[in-house]
Formats: sequence, structure tokens, C-alpha cells
Amino acid sequence: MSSTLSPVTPTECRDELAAALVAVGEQSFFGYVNLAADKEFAAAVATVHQWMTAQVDFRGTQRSGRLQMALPAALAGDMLEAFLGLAEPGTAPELTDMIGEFANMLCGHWLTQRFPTTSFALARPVVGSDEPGPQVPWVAAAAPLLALLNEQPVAVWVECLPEGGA
Amino acid sequence: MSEVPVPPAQGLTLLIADDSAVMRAMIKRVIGMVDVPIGAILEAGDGKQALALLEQHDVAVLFTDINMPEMTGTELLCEIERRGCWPHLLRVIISTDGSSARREEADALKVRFYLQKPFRPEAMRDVLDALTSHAD
Repeated sequence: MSSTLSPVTPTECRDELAAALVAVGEQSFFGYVNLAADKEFAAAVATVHQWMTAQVDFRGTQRSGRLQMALPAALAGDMLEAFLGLAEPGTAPELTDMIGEFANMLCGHWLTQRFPTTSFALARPVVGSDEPGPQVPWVAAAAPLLALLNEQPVAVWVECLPEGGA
Repeated sequence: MSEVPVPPAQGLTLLIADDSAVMRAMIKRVIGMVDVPIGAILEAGDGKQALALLEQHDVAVLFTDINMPEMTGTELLCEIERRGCWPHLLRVIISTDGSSARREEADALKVRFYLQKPFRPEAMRDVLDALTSHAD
């Protein structure tokens, strides 16, 4: 199907992604989101030992795309404990599940804000780990949202194209 | 699938269908914060498992996600409607998708509450309060 719809650029949806991060981070994970300045973000990134990544593909009748995010493994562990009210660290499968659910909620919340009348099918999240170190996965992508959640760095990026318009 | 008894034993039976075990655990945790007598909380990882549990147990409330493998929440609700075996089942969707299209679809499938993730514990309290009045 050909389409006259325009792609949604990462730059134009940064504010919406930020709103989604605030909603999900604060309501579900009882965290505090700071839409950090570059300098603050860079300082937080320098302390990261291990990154975790997640990807959620989505498809609607007129548009499809992908949301990607990266966060430190240490932050993911803290978030899992807050999410489930755990007194001790969760298991590795629980951590993977929680990161995927976090990305899923970000994606669903963003899509609902951006396209409030359209439903989308979301694929099962794909969660992975990236090379240890302070380099942010996905940061090479165009205009990711860079923020701090509980003073630790989170990067979120989205790609959304018209069906048949890639 | 698992069954987790929660006192008091005379309480109602709830069923949570979500492919994320962590999300099911979080929903159970929130339910536990609300002062409503719950007998058992059943869990299903997809719609097919949920359907099997509905056949085996007297479930008062179904909480279901939409995007699940094997059988989606929408397919599950369609099958419940098609069979017509559970006319008093309170149907609740818990999903990240809050679009009007999805909500209209839910209305047509007799969904009583639609909770968009993330949701506050107060939203769950409203659902369970309705359950209590439903049971009276």
C-alpha cells in the first residue's frame, strides 16, 4: 500500500518520549526522571559498567516501527526491586522480563499519545546486554532522548515509518 | 500456570493473563494492597492458558493483556463471547495500548474496565470495589 504519510522523526517526538518516560518511570517504578542536560548525562554515563538494551517492534494499519532503549544494568536491578517490592535482588530472567516490560510500556504509552485513535500490535520485546563501559548503545542514532532516571542514564530512540514508505 | 492461594480462603478467584511473569507479579502485588477478600489468584501466560483455567475454575474477574503469544487478549475475549459460558465474568484489560480504537473494541467485547499501563494502584482499587458491589 502506498502512503502519503510522513515518517515520524526522532527529533519531533522527543517531548512525547520524555512524557512517556516520566509516566512509566514514576508511576510503575517509583523513580524520578530528570530530562538532563548533556553535561549531566555525560557525567552519569561515565559511571556505567554494563548496559542493557531492549527493542520493541510495533505495527499498525498505516505505520510501523521500533522503539529502542538502553539503561545501566545496575539501574535495571533497582527498578526491578521497586517494581515488585523485592527486599533482595531479582533473578536474571526477572530482570530480562522487567526490562522488556519497561520498553513495552514506553512504546505503548508513546504510541497512544502520538496516535490516540489507532491501535498497534507490539512484538515481544528483545532484551540484550551491550559491551561493558561508558559508551551509550544507540547513541549514534539520530536524536535519542537522553534522560536520567534515579540519577542514572537512560537513552530512548524511536523509528516510525509509514507502511510501504521505507 | 500456577495457583497462589491468598487468605481469606472464602474469597473470590481472580485470573491474570499476561505473557510477562514480572507484570503478573506486579498486578498481584497491587491487588494485595486493596482490602478485598481474594480466595485465589490464577495466572496464565497467554489466552489459551487463560481459557483452560476458566474452564476449570469459578473465576470472578479476568485481567488480561492484549499482546500475548498463542492467543491474544482480544482473541481470548472473543472466544469467551462466542462460548457464552461466563456471563458474570468481570472482564478487565490491562494494556499499554490506550487508543480509542482499542477501547471501542474492548467495549464491544463487554470489557468493564480498561487499565492502561502504567496505572496507579488506585485504579485497581476502583476495579475491585466494583467487584465487591457486583458480588453483593
